[in-house]
This record gives sequence, C-alpha cells and structure tokens, in this order.
Amino acid sequence: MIRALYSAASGLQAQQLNIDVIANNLANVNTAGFKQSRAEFQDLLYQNGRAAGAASSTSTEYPVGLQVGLGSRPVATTRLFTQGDFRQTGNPLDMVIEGQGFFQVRQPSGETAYTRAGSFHLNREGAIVTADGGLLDPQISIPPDALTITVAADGTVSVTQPGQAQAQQVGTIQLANFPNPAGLNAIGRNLFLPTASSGEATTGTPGENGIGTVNQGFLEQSNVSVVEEMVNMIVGQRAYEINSKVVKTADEMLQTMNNVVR
Amino acid sequence: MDSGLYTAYSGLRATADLLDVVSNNLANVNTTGFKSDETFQKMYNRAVAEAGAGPLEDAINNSAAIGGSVINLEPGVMKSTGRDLDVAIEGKGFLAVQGASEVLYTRNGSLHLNNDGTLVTSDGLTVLGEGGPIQIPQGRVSISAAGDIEVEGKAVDTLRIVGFANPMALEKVGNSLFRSVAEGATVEPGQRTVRQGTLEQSNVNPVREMVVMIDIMRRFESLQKTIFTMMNNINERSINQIGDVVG
Repeated sequence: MIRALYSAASGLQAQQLNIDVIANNLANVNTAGFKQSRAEFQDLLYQNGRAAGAASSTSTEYPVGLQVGLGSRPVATTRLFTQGDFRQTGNPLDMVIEGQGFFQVRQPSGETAYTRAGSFHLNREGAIVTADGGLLDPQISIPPDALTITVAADGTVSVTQPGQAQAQQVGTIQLANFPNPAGLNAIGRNLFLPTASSGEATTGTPGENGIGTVNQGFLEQSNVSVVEEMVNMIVGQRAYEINSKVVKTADEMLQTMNNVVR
Repeated sequence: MDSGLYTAYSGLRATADLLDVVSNNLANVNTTGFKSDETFQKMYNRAVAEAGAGPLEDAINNSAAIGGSVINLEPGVMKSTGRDLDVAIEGKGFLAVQGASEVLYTRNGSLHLNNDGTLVTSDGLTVLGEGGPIQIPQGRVSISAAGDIEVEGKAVDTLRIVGFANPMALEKVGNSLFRSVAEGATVEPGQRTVRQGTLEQSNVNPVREMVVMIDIMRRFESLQKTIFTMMNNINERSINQIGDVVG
C-alpha cells in the first residue's frame, strides 16, 4: 500500500522531469544550432518475494517468482545530435556544418568550448567571433578593407581586397569532433564543454576523417520537432495524470482501512 | 477467534500488494523497453495440509495471497526517433549487456558511446556483440535488420540478441535490465528484426491498469465491509447480547 504511494510518486516525479525537458526543447525551437534532449527512464529496484525456480517441494519448483517493483526513475537526458534544417541567410559569416563536428570557441577563461551555432560576427579587431564575443579558434582576422569573405567547404577563409584580382587566404576553420558527442556538457549560450564521457576532442580539416563540411551563408536551425514534442507532452501529461490517480486510489484504500474500526 | 476475520485480513493484504504492482506498472508507463508485471492470487489452504480434514474445513480455512508475478513480454509500441544509436527489436529476443558480474538482458535500445567509442547502455553497461564489446569508430553508424553494425560502409560487429525458451526464467533487476536463471540461445535473424532509429515504448496498457485499479479498490472496500460486519455485528452481539441472556 505504502509502496504503491511511493511508486506512484516516483512516476509523478519522472513525468515532471519529462515535461521540464520538453519545455526546454520547445523554448529553443527557434535557437540556431540547438540540439534537442529527451528524458530517459528506467524501472527502479524490485522487491523479491520469492525467486523463480525456487523449490516448492523436494521435486517441484515455482515456475514464476514474485517481484514487486518500486517505481521509475529518470536515468539520463540524452541530447540528440541529429542535423537541424538549414536556412539560407546570405550572410557571409553564417556557416553550417554539414555532418558531424563542432566549431571551436575560445572562452574568456582560456578553455575551448564547442558549438554548432555558426552565426558569427566580427569584433573591432576584425576577428571572427560568436554573438557572445567568443573568438573562433583558430583565430581568423578579416582585414578591414575586405570586400568579400568566402568560406570554402574545407574551411578555407579567403577575402578579396580593393586593387587585388586574387583572393587572399586569411585562415582555415578547424572543426572538432568527439567519440561520444552526446556526453558533452551543455553550458548554455549554445556552447558545449567536453567531459570524461564525451572523450577527447579530435580537431581536423572539414571534410576529412568523418568531420562534416562547412557551408557559408546558411544557419543550422534547431533540430526540435514541434509536432513530436507536442505528442511527447501529451503522453507525459497523461502519464502524470494516471500516476496521480494511483495516489488517489492508494489514499482511498488507506481511508477504507481506517474505517475498519469505528 | 474467527478464522473468517483472518481470511478477510489476508484478502486485504493481498489486494494492497496488487495495487503495489499496478502502481509500479503505471509509474513506468513512459519507460523505454519496460515490460509490465501481472499478478495472480492464490489460496493457501491450511486444512488441506492436515491429514483427514473434512471438506468443510477445506472451505473455511482459506486465505488469499499473491501467488506470483509474471512478466508480460508482449511487445510495446515502436516509436520512431531518427537517432542512429536507437535500436528496437521486433520479435523475440533481448540485447545482451555486460553487468558487473554476469550477462544481463534488456529491450531498452537507447544506446550510447562512451569516451573510447564503446557501445554502452544509458547506465554505461557494455553492449555485447557476437565478438564481445563493440568499438564504434567515428562516422555514421548504420545497423541492419539482422543487427549487423556498419560504420561508413565497414562492418564492425553484429549485435548479440538472445532469446529464452522459457521466458518465465527471467527476473527483473531494475534499470530496464533482466537476469536469467536459464541459459539463453541466440535468436536467429529470421525470428526478429532490428530496427534502427526506433525505440520500443513501455508495454503497459493504461486502460487495463486503470480497470484493474478500480477492481482492486472495490474489492478492498468489500473486504473492509466484511471485517466491519464481523467485528461490529457478529462479535459485538455475541459478546453483549449472549451475555445478556446468560445474565
């Protein structure tokens, strides 16, 4: 009886987290480079009344056991690194990674963070930076008199300057990849940091060793599917509701029990 | 005193235990790869064990208890996710994973890579292929219907999918994992299909569980009425009124 109450409470808590994750996904439906998460659940421990296969007499055994489960628990929020849709912007400093990989962004603290959001800008020194001002690593500076900026699929950045027929190479964008991108730690502002579970970053030229290519003039949209999240939200809400019904039933049974003696 | 009072009490306890099982099923209505539990009640009969007991004693000394719980292995709904490392097994069988001291089994195919590229479950347990732990090199993973894993066109390994002749031998250990007391056998690809980008949802049927829950609640109520009647009507009258007659 009391087990039923706590099992239902664990279900309520799990579904609450489910809705929290869905809410964050939906809040970021328009965030460039955002990767959706999903909550994953597991069943909790089991109380074993009797093991299957235990002897029921000297010559026979119980064909089934007796196990009472104690509810569910959230085990992970898995980030889905599927490709988002591409939106053409025409802005020369908007870039998408077609395939796996991350742009490297130098943080003010000196460490490197990683992002899929390729909406870049120039700072006053002409260096390519994120919307937050973090430097793209390796650092690339665009001359102030540059007429056009071209980013090739392999990450080569070149500019044309007045009076020069030939485009000048000013740097190459290097991308990073991880053995397990889902293990990255999201720190907000579209940035990720490596963890023990994501593995070490391997950097490389776009288009080589399984790293995706760079496309200029596009932005990667959020990979949140609104329809899917709405369905998940309905399922989560109903699951929450049904667990609250269990709490109510258990409560009514306890009340019934209290009425045994009047 | 009345054995009937204890019979009714045993019914109350067993019914409360039933609700515990329903509650666990409903708490896991959204747990990937969860298999619901079903319970059955049985009667303990004290009189039968006593030699020479008559048919009347048989009938009045019963008490109810939960006889056991059976894992309902019906498939759950398949949900498409589009994620490369989500797999669902259509048909018989379980993914084999390496537990701390033994091989465990799961239907939860939400797989991940760890920091050295080994295929693991959400708990970090190593998923076993035909050749042991599976190392996935970087690149796009594709998993065929037979369970063969390929990365960028190169064969890596085949998922080990194990079935059991007697599914009753399975025992839940929590965390979506099962343990088996009997040895399992590899399920041939003809009997199951591995679907990449799909997850098997919980097979809990909320409608059925709700109906069971109503049944449990009403049964509980009627048992309570039985106890109430025995205590307040029969016992009280026998104590007070029979006493009056004697007095």
